[in-house]
Amino acid sequence: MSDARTVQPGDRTLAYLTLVPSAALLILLSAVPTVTVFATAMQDVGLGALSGPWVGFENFIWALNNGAFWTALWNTFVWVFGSVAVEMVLGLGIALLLHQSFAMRGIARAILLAPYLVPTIVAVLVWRYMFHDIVGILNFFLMDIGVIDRPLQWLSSTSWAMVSVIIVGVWKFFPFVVLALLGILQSIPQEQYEAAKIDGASAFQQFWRITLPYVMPVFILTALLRTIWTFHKFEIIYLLTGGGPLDATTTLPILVYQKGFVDFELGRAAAIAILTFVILAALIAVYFLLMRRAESKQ
Amino acid sequence: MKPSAPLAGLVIALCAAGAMTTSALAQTQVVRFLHNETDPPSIEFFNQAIAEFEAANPDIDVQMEAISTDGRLQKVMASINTKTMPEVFKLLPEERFEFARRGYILPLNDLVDQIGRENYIDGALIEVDGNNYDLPYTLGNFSLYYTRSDKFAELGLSPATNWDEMKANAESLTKDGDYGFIFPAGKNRMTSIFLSHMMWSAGGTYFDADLNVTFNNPGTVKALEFLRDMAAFSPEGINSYSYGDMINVYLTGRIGQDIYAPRLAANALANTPDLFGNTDVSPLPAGPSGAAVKFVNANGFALSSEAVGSKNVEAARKFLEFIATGDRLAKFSMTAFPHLIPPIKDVQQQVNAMGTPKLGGRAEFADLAFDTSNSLDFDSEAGATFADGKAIRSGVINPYIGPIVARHIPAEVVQRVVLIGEDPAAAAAWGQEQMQAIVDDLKKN
Repeated sequence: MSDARTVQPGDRTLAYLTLVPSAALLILLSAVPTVTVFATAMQDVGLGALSGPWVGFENFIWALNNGAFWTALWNTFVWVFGSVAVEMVLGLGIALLLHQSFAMRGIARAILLAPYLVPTIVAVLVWRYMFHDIVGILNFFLMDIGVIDRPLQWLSSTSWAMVSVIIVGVWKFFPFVVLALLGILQSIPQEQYEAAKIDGASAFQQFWRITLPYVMPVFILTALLRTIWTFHKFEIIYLLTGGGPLDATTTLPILVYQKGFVDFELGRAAAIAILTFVILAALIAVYFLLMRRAESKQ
Repeated sequence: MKPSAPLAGLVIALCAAGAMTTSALAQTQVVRFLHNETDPPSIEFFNQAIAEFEAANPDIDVQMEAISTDGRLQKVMASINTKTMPEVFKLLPEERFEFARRGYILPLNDLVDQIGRENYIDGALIEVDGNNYDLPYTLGNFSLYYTRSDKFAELGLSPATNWDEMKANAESLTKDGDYGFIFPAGKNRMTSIFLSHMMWSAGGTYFDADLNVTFNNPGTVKALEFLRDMAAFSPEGINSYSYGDMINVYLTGRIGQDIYAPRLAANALANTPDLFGNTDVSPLPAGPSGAAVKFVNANGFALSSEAVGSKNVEAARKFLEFIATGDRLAKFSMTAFPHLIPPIKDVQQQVNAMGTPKLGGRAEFADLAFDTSNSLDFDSEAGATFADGKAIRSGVINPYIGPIVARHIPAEVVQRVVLIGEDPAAAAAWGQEQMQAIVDDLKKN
């Protein structure tokens, strides 16, 4: 005999009660800080205080009229799209390579995924040494093989600093793209390739007609996810260049940090953080839209 | 079912142990200690000293945190805002006035009197409204002039006595992948320090004695012009250089002249003894004002007040007295001889005697390092004048300089000239504008 019974009047209350701890945690860890940042953005908060005089939208107006904000926004886009574009192309290429059968494929996969596992602080400090103009191995190697005749200013030139930061970002995070795409590549039915071969399809045609359509939804979602994560990435840039030279690598998260913890203008820092949040929210909305579309196709 | 007797016994024992532990914890006073002396021998010294102190004071638990110089600033600022300041911390001179005024730090007059004011080197003790707020534990001298004796001999050069000679030397030394000079031009505190002593040697100051911003002055422009010219004889990567690069790049053996702290000598001796043998040290070359003004600041430990989260003030005071006096001070100074200059006269003599044999008897390194005369620092430079080759302090302590240095405004001025080729006069004007805005803001609040 089944134990099932109809829903009793007290059950709904019990259900809500069981949700209370989770809801309380969410409010404490997410809603309270978010509301606090919004409130801080409306105040003039300086050193030694967590609140100050109410100034309304003055901090937002200041940010939008400030050249540093727009420079940081532009730098953020260069950093994000530079990194993500290279990560995606490199990640797809390496995922396709690793999908092939060859000796010691497992070891090759493990080695290629290693950068993702190295702690960021360790990786960045090693890269800093490698980028050093005089004692760095990169310049030594490039000069030794005759590619350059004088040291490149990886971190100290306004034009090279962003390139250097992107190189480190790509090196650190392309394994994530490889992992995501390798997963979907392994799920493509082999019968489709066999049928295509019988029909005389070339390798490129197989890639274009079979692989790419299968991979594309995950590719787009991964790209968007990487865009969102890269957008608010702080530690790589801060540890490598601190946002310099001058403001050549100052992205929005770096600007928030500088305003908050160097200039100690917490209200302005909070306003920039909220503007960053709005841009990120738009990206997240696109992510959900694409995810829903991908799910409906499946 | 009744609980068994052994189980009941275990529960009672656990409760008793818990109660005893809680009681012991309640009696232990935690003293958090934040500093930026991150050399491994210095850390080893602090660990030993803390163990000694804790053995003598079993009710006090000292928790040390060592952090980089650049990271310390942000850590201190964030801790003040969140009211979680460590009880004892390294105070920068330019923070002294503002922190004292806002009540973040406590007066230490009794400790200074106990040690004896007359025992301190001139300029080591700085008062704010008649009170001492930090106990100096070392002096930082950033103005030793190092030259490569082998390269100088080969080219028939002599250590410079003024900027023109230094520039001429740099030009001769810059060849075959070698550089005649090196200076920091990154957006950091070290670059601000470097610009400062050049500016003072050229007769300029950040502020006058009435605390008006005077950064846009002929001395600043001359200093910037000099740095612009010297950049041609320095590694191109100077735009990201900070403290460490001034040593690491010198240790490659490719730098002919370097103006830096005594740490360079200590590191050269430890890591490249041959290079140390080929390194001479000389007095700082004089600038256009006729003066060679050193950047020397007293590094002190301060006590946080309860207003910013300090909890065990008396225990912290006891620890501070222990760590910044007597044998500990001498032992600490010996962890990076001759870089860590004791601020107390008799300790300085003791350390000099102990350390010089370790430098192969080359007394000139410690003699010049320990010579902190004719110097200024960020908070004492306002209104300084320069005559007969001497810098004369006005006695005014600057309450506004801290945020200017923390925001790296002087360093950014150097970057504008060296990195993007801005005209020195325009860069000085830009710096003046930025500094004035900060001062106006501070005065408003």
